[in-house]
Amino acid sequence: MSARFLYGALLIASFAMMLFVGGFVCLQLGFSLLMALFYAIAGKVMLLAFGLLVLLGAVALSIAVARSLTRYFSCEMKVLRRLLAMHSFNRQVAQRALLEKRQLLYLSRLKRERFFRANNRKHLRNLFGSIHQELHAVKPLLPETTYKSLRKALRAHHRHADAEAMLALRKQFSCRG
Amino acid sequence: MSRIADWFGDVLGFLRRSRDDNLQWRLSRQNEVAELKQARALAEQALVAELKKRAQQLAHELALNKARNSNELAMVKIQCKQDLKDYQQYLQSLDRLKASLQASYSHLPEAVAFTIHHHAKQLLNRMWDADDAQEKLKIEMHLLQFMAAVHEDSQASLQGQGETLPQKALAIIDADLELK
Repeated sequence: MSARFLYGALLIASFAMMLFVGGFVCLQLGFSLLMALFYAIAGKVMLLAFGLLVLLGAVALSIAVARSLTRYFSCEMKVLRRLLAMHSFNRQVAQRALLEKRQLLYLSRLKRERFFRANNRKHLRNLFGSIHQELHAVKPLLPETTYKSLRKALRAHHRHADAEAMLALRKQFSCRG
Repeated sequence: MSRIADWFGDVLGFLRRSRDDNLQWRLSRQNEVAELKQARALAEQALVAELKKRAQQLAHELALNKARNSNELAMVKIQCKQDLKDYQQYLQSLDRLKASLQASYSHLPEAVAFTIHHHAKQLLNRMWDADDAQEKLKIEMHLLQFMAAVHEDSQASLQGQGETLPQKALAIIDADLELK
């Protein structure tokens, strides 16, 4: 059906071209009135042919869109889309479970580290108190500046929770004392 | 003029004959065309039924997976809570170990008690962070041996048999530092 319309439109366009050629021949032969008539009719016929082609194109496009929509909303495609969605959900559920497990383990490790740090702080406080007392006990044996610098260093190490440095400092003034 | 009319007649005749041939061909193939349409419709129906069945299976699998995952997560949560409790109890027992050591040795410097306690805590952390079960067990045995050594030192001191410092515990610490 559409082929017939296409051939019809092309036939009309050919007729218009023939009228143009006829008008040209009339021009060459000097028939000006006939030439004007032919050209006027040829233009309108060509416009008609193009109009028909545009209409044909619009109808073909509408039919293609309607077919695509019909196929999209068909039962087969609906079920296929549902199947693909199920596949995707399954993958997401598996990924989510893995990520949630990882998160739980990470949070548990964080809490454990918090307990460890709190315990460290408690014992470092005791260690600081004990080393401070020992330093105070050897104060008479040390120059004033040395005592002050050792005390300052001890406080700094305690602030940075550096137990090894505190023990090393203790060894330092124990040797001196 | 008659030639042109004849020519037109021939052309029209040719067009009519080709259309008749086309019609005859289509009439002769009508049964096959109908069969083809029917087979296509049946195949589409079968495909839709198969896809629906597969989608139902997947929906069922999805529900099973969701239930299984939520159970596993609940178990992991419980396990993590229990691990944390165990870790806290371990820390408390190490604190008690340090306290008993300080009680057993009357003039034990805080630095020595801290060193022993800190070493025990490091062993505990290494044990907790170990991924391999064999490695974990090895470190746990080492920690228990260390705690036993500290306990023996405390007992010896209380009975008046030991030295002024917990020698066994310090020897283990020295040995571990050399290994590092």
